[in-house]
Amino acid sequence: MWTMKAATIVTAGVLTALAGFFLRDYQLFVLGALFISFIAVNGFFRPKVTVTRPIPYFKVFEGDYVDLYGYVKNEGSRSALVEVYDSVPAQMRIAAGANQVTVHIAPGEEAHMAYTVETPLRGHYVFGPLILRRRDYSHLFFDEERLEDRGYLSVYPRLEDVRNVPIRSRYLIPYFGTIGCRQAGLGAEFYYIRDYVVGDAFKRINWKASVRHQRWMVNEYEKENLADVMLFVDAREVTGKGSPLRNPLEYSVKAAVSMATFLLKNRNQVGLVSYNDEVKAVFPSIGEKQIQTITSALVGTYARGNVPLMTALEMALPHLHPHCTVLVISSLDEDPTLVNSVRLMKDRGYEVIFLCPSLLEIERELVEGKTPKRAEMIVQERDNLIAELRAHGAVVMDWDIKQPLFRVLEKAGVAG
Amino acid sequence: MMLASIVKKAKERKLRTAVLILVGLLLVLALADLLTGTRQLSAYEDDWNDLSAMKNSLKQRGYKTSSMISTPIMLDELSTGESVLAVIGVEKPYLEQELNAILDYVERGGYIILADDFGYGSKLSEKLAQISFAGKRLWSSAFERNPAFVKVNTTLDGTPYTLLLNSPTVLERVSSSEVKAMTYPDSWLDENGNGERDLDEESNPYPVIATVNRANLDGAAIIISDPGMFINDMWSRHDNSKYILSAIKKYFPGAKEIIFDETRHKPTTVREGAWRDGLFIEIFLMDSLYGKAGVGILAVIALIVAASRVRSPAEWRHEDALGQVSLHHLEEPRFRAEDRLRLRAALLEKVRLSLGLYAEEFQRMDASNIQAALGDDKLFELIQDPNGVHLMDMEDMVTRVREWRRR
Repeated sequence: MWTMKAATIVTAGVLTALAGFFLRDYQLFVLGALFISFIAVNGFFRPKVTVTRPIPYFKVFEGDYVDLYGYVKNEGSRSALVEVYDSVPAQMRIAAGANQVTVHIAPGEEAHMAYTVETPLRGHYVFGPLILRRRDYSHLFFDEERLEDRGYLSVYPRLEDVRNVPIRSRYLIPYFGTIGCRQAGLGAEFYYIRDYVVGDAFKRINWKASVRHQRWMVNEYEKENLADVMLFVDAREVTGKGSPLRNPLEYSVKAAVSMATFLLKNRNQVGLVSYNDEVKAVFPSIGEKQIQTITSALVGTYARGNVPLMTALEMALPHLHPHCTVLVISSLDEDPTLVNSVRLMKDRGYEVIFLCPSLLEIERELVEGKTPKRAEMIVQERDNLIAELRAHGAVVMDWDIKQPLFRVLEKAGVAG
Repeated sequence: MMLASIVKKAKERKLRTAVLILVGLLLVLALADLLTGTRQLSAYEDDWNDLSAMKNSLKQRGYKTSSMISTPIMLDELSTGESVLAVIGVEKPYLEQELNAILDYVERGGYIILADDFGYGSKLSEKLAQISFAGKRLWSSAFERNPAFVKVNTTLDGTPYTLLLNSPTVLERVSSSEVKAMTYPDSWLDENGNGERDLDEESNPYPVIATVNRANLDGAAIIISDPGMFINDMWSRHDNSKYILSAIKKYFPGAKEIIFDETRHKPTTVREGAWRDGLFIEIFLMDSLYGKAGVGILAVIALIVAASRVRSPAEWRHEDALGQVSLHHLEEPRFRAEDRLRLRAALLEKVRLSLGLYAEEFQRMDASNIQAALGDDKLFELIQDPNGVHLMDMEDMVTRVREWRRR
């Protein structure tokens, strides 16, 4: 590439040479030729430089800092003046140092650049290409080379505090778990008080109640069992509205990863369906590996497309376990199939729970100043929809994002 | 693989490739021009068909000789009355500006010898004196050894001369006073070019040499329908050289310099051709106002193109996109016309849900029942005639909808 300086000199050279030619003034012609020769000589030599930038990690968590180093080596026989720029994903911040360096390197020598990036947003990221800009010492020319030295980094979402997931086990399996199943049995949660019958253990006698009723009363506990949960994560384009860090999808992903981790650590089966411009599914399973699988799938989920819940549901229905709990995480915006989807799921006997981060609340937070009155109309529409979903038997947790997730889950109480 | 890599490189370096192709094309054209056709009639070459013998004879007679290798446009720089432009063979046509420059030169008192046969000389001769070259081969029973060598007798200042022409043509539209040499009466023109004498090809004496010295011309011209009589091989035959030298002396008094017009001949080397073309372009462009203006405009355009291709190196700075905000619900803060229907639908849905009715049941309800359930005339107006609600009243209406059943 030519710089303006080089273009000016070469233009002056050409014009002078032309003037010399037309005026038959050979001294002028030679002067013009000298200008052009100067440019030609400067543009002839290009240094040979290599650049590497290893990525030290494959996975980090949101908010982590990653130190990166780039090494620039002059492998030519002349000294080189180079600039190196590392393309950092736009979803990251440079926390320290600079992702570019301008160095003069003698033959065989090596220089380096160092910088630190902050990773505030989950996702799979690609670093690079490295862009190398060589200059001549007169700053007449520069050429840029894109070095396809890509580096890959996955940023995992931080887990939210989850103390309880408001679901009930809907079918009995001969394993103990942590999910109540509306039956008296062995468990930690108090269920009801009943009269003492011969054979009951003395430790279960409720002394206060026995005194009050003047007969022996014992505590009954809710049986705790395992549950099957299918998470549906709405990742349509509308869920990406807001800001990159604060939008319904980001809250949904954090909630999904946190709840899936909680449930899987308590030996429940969890699966995942995400829908945006396509429907992706992770079949229900158990264990640590499933945590990794679900987390990886959610890390790579981006807001795009407009596939409605009903489509995702129809594709996932053959793979849902009978009586499983369907937990839909959606902002409820722009999806006309929600009510019918709930109907369908209830008809099939599934427990349906909605966790709904409110896009309107997010936007209110982002927009400074008084919220326009028109927003009240949208709130009313949302309230109507939530009421309708509840009327069809779904548990709906309307998530005002000012509240932490565990508070929302606690408030919801127990479904089923 | 190699071809693919060359194509790839060429795609990457579009400008350089275009320049290379252009230069290559020009080179091929120049070479093609050089390798095809015969080079002849040059005053500086010694082949049998060049003019070095004539040039040497002129030098011996004390004439200064020179060549014009760029374009006759530069004739305006010559002092007239002392120079003779010798146009021997016109192998390339003149431009209109060049013809005008030659005419102007002769009008100002310049001399010219124009000799041509089957070339582009007619335009110049017509410009000078309405004379043209027939462009058809002249045959005669008076020839020497070879029918191509036609003999012509003429006189100059009472001295008889026998000229030997080499495959000549004849002059047309020449007035009798201007004719200086005629062929033998047993001469004919090969009208159809079949090389044979046909019945309709009549024998006649034809003019082959004429002089032009008209009132409008301060200068003079000799027009000869055969450049062949000037070539080295013909120059010393019979009285060719004597006649030409005598004619120059007689018709061009005061002439001191003979300028051979080399511009109408093919160059002998690529360098010569390039030099000639360069000079031609220079003189052609700089001689006229349009040319100068054209060069200026082209230079400005070239500068603009060059400037547009130049870009300063981009400033490298990482800018994150984390602060970008894209709104959905609050994108449009003010009420729009269609919001009246949206609000009506929201109100009806709220009423239906509060009554605990299915949609089908609610649709069957009549207006009076809904009005009774609402208990608010303003809200009922919204249901009855949503388009009647003024946009200014929408805020109040939304508040009413929100507060309905809260009270």
